[in-house]
Amino acid sequence: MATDKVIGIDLGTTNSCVAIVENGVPTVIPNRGGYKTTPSMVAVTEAGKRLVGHIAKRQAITNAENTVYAAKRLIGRKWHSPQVRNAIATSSYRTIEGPHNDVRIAVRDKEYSVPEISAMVLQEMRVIAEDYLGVPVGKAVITVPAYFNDNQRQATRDAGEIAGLDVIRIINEPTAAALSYGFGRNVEKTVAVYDFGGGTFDISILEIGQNGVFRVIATAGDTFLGGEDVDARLIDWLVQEFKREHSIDLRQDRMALQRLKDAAEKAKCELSSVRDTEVNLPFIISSASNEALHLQKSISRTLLEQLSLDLIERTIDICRQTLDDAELEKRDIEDVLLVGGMTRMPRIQQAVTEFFEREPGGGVHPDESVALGAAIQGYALVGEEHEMILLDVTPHALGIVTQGGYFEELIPQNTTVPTHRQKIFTTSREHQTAVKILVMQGEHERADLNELLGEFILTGLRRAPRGEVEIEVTFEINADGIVSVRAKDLDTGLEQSIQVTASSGLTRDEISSMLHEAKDQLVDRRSGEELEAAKQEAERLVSEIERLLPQVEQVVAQSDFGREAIDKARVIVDRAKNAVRRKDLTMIKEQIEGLARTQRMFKGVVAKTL
Amino acid sequence: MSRRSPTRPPPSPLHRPREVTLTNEVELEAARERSARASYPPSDVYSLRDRLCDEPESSDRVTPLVPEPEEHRAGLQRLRSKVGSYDHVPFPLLDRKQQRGLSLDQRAGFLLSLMDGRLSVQEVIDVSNMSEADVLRVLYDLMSQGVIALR
Repeated sequence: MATDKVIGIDLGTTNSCVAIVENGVPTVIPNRGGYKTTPSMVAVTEAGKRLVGHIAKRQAITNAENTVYAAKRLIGRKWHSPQVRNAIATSSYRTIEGPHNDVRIAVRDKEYSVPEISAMVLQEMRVIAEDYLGVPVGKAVITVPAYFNDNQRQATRDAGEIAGLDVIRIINEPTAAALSYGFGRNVEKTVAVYDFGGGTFDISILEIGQNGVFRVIATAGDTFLGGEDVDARLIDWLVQEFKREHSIDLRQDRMALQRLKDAAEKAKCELSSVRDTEVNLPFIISSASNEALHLQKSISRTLLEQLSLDLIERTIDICRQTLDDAELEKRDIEDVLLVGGMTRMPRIQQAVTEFFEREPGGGVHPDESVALGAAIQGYALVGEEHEMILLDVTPHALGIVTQGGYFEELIPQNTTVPTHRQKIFTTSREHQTAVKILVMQGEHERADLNELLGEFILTGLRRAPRGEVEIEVTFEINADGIVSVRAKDLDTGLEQSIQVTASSGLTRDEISSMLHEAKDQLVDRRSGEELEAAKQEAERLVSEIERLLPQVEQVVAQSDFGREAIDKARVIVDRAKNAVRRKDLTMIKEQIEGLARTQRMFKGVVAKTL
Repeated sequence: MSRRSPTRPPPSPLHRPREVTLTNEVELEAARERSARASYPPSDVYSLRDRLCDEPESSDRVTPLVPEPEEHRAGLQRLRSKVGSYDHVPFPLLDRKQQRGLSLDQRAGFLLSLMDGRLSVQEVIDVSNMSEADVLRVLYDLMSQGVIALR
């Protein structure tokens, strides 16, 4: 049975991280390889094997068509949206239009919805936590970018459900980072969260208030700007240098490019702590005369900074624009939190310090703070002694369309929920008997630039000159984030309403079927691991028995007893070998006891002769 | 029945008529008639004459299904037993500078780069995008040359 423990998951574009609060201490859980972050990558090999995380990343270029990365750029988005068009243009995997105007990803011979792909990453994070805790985990808090709309949030929830998690809350990434920053201390500040990750850049300004209210004042970013762009610059440079020396384009060879990608990322990380490093890739390619060629290059921190300077400047431009839009001065920012692996780069720290005119502080961990904040929130939600409760806020403004195609805001962005707001509108035409209420979400004045959530018509209005009939429109958001909109004719009391529920692009039946498939996959994986463990134990015992056998035979040869025991041991060993060959878990388990008994007996016999 | 040109493109294997084993001219003629009566689209019918004649066929025209040769299977088994458990983790015994003195091709160099002490044999096979036999062969060669070891 699943425990009450709640894990916090930072479901990132390029990397994900899982954390938990243990004995009151927020802790990041390392994966089996000992890494605290896991690449958000999923691949299927030619043999049909599913790979998730680091292992998927190691083959991302050699098996590019069947490796899905940055699914977060697609989650909850419509097929025709410009963001999806952009993401597709830079993806090596195949995307197709889904049955609900959503995005589907084709890997090998199967099509997956985006929440299904994200669920594979989330399931991996769940398994990491379960392996660490030794008990099943059921509940999770997952983070999303502050700009995610309701559909994107719902799609993330659905991904969690498919992964077998009860997603008790979705929280904003900068808010999670701020939660981790404020944990255990009483902070009331306006902070900037500069988040430069592997695939995206985000800047958010937050107000940390009393009673655990975290208000996102402004947020902006670039979903196509991240550490991978820096890697790409380094790869370009290495490719050019090699071409200059050998007249061979390494980009034409996938094996070479995979090695270059791994080496460039490693060099970039090393240059955050040392001034020079070396990329050394022996046998990277063969020349036309079949001679093996090696790539060996020294890279300095200065060179890396030159190659990525414009990318760093782009992040600072976005910071400047965000402060302007929020009508904030640099002096209004009381602390700057650095989040994302790229913020380890000294040149970035310098650029942020120069722009905000203050040293970034806060002591938050760039890779871990978001997951830690999610874990803290989960702990507070189920714990009895929670001191910090994060109040949910609406990520985007909600309102209706008025005459001329303008957006009339009823609930402003970042309003704490639950909430309700009313406004009175009048008819815009003479003798108008019906009014169409278009419910929108967004921050643009022009309605068509916002997202349509739903619509309904209120009929039976009194025929009267325009502006005379009054209609009261009420927006209500309950604690579960469900939006209800009601329009009431104040003359007649007639009313009409709609309940808006976010849609991820999947039906309940689809989610249910995907959940079962994911469960089966996990059972297969678990039983595969169990088989492997049993197989190893049996092989270890067999090898030990076979090692002892000649000595035992010597002892038995000098005695009238024991021949039968040796024959029995041989039978047990043969049966075990057969079970291992047949990969029959039950049979292997049956033989392990006999093998262990035989090994103990053999050891005893040999020990007596010493 | 008119004989089809040997340069005609090959039919899709899915629509190929059932194979017949022909022993004499009588059976051959009967088969020709059966083939002529068959309701396959003309373009999908292989002339039996084509199939029996000794004309050389280019490799891209026909890809026959042949069972894996026994020696390949046996070779793979031998390699598997030499490598042992696929949970073993290969790790390099030479640093990269020393590796440059070896005589390796690009594929071996690529596989050697994957054998960094983090991936198991199974994982190297999974991420290499090469066949199991190819990976095991290189792995065994590298072990024999003292370039890597397993733990």
